[in-house]
Amino acid sequence: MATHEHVRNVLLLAALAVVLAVLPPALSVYLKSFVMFTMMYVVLALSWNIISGFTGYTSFGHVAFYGIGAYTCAVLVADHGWHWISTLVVAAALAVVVAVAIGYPVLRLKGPYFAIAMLGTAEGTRVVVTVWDSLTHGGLGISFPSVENSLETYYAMLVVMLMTILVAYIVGHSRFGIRLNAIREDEGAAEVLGINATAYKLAAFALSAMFPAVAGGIQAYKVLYIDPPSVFFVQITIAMALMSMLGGKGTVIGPVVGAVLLYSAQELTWVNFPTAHLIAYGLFIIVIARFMPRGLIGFAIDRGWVRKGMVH
Amino acid sequence: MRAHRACLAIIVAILVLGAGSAAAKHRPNNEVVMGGAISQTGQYAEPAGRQVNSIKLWVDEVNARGGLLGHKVVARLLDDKSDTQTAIKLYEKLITEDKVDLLLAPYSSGITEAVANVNERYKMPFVAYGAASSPIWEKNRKYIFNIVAVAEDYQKGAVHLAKQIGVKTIAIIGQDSLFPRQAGKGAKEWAKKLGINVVLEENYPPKQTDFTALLQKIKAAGAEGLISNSYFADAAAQLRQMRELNVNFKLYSSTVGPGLPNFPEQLGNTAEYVLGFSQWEPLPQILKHPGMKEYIEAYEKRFNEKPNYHAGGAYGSLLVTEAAIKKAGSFDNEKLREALATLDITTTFGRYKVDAKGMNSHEGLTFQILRGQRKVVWPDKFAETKAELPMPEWSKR
Repeated sequence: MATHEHVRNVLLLAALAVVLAVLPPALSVYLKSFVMFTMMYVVLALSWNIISGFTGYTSFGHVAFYGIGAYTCAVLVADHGWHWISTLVVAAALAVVVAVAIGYPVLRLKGPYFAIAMLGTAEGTRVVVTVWDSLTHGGLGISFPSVENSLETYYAMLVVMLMTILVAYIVGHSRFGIRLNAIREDEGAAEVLGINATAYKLAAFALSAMFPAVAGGIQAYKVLYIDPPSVFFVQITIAMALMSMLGGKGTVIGPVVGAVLLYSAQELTWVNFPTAHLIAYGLFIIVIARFMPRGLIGFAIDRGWVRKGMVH
Repeated sequence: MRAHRACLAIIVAILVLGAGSAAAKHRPNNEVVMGGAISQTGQYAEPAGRQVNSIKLWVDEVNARGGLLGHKVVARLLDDKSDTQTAIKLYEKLITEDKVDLLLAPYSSGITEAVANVNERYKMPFVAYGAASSPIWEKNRKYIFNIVAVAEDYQKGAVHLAKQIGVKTIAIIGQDSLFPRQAGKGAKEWAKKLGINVVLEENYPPKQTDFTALLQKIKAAGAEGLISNSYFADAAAQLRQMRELNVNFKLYSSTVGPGLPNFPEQLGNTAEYVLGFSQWEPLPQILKHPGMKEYIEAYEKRFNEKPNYHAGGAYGSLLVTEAAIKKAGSFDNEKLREALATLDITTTFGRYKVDAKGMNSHEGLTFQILRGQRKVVWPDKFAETKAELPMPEWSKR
């Protein structure tokens, strides 16, 4: 991609940042929360996409990192009096450590082992958090002191989302990203070409673990009460995957579009049709899977509406 | 960069649409909107659904008798999908966007704990019929009022019955989550007060279904009675495995499972003699609360089943709210809060009078499953029949 295109993309991102930054005074508390959670899902879907879309290693347990982040924030704020912002750094670091610890043995293998290991990791983390009573208060959950925090969490999530988009964009357009794609397409061939597949996969995995942990920390502070079932919620992993697939797995813009559309669609249906939203949601997924298997962006590329490469 | 632009346009369009709908909410003066997010889908849909039944019933009844202070009541019920994050967001919506006049409570202790921060911030009071966990009232909150018996008292009757039949040692087990753990804490305190020795205490993770090792451990610890702070699946698994392993206790009591209508149906003979807890039972001739008979008849006519305690608690809370609004003479949040804090009234659900923390002292009922029916056996003044304890051994059934 030509330099001027990169410049234009970065300018567009900056414009988005400015719009979202000046928006809050015009928003009710509810809309601030809504935009905040939408941005959170952008972070989650984009992060998931780094390991599962770019690299082709589907993670069925990314909620583990989100939960680790939420608990890091809750324990440090509620029990140790930290400022909540500073806990996010610890959350990110901890998620990277856990990702490397799991990835180091598992990502040396090819094939479905990673997917299975992540399924176990999410469940295992939830059980550890539940059982480790002295640290996490187990099933009692953790309550934060009550404060009005919709504005600070909004801006925190905005910053994290911009960082995630930027990182995903850089990865998507770098030599690093191309090598991840090569691993996805044919890992054996990539290795023959001299790519150290394990190291690349591990780096992608660590990168994809970091931002969900930060997002989890911010949302814990927003909700002010967490317990293991609410943060190690299987549906959060499912949402990450669905949003990426809806928008277009393996692209940068796809998960962003997918997260915004799916989260908004969900919100509109469950607010307006409280009892029918699951049906609407299910139909939506079926339509996507049937008619747009490569997601909205893939659908658009296939029909020549957007030029291939421009949206990556 | 058409795709980028399209994406941006979509985001902006959604935001504009959202803001537009927010500004368009006005209602005629003779209506008063009562809003709440209650789980209509997800894991809490069943108990919360019964509360929704009662809310609908009450709204029609109150409108038939002239509404609240002459205003027609309109209920705005949203679905939190049994998810905390959605619940707090929807309460923010109800308060700041829909600008509802009165709040309804959510279901489950965990969700109520999170929502309590939101309504506290906007100083909008409600009676929490869906939460039985006392830590909610230990945070100096002023706008949330308790009506049901708290988790700590769920096993009070069972421990008293254990004492009556001369049980000296009990084990307390329970699922590791907010509500069962509070129930366990209460059971331990009651045991201590009555001089019963707790020989084993253990929490197991939610969704555990294999209790064979735990049951052996309990037996080895020498427990005569088993207090289980459990829901449906875990209580059912414990009883079935007790029978399979021929592990006998003089008494077995579970917090939630046995109170559900299909518990005796599914377990059949294995559910016999089990003790359970109920906040309330549709037994007007025994509880003798005012208006019970009419409520039960109206509920049964409309929903083809008798109300259970979830339904009863929600209905009683709405009667309390109705009385408080009458007493306050306005929908002003501060006046309503004051009225809820000072009201002393007996409704279909029992007496409501809260202490300085906002806690009611509702008296629950302990029942025993006898010949497939739940029969209240404790406290004595409400007992339908005498408890049949100790439980006969499995081999003699």
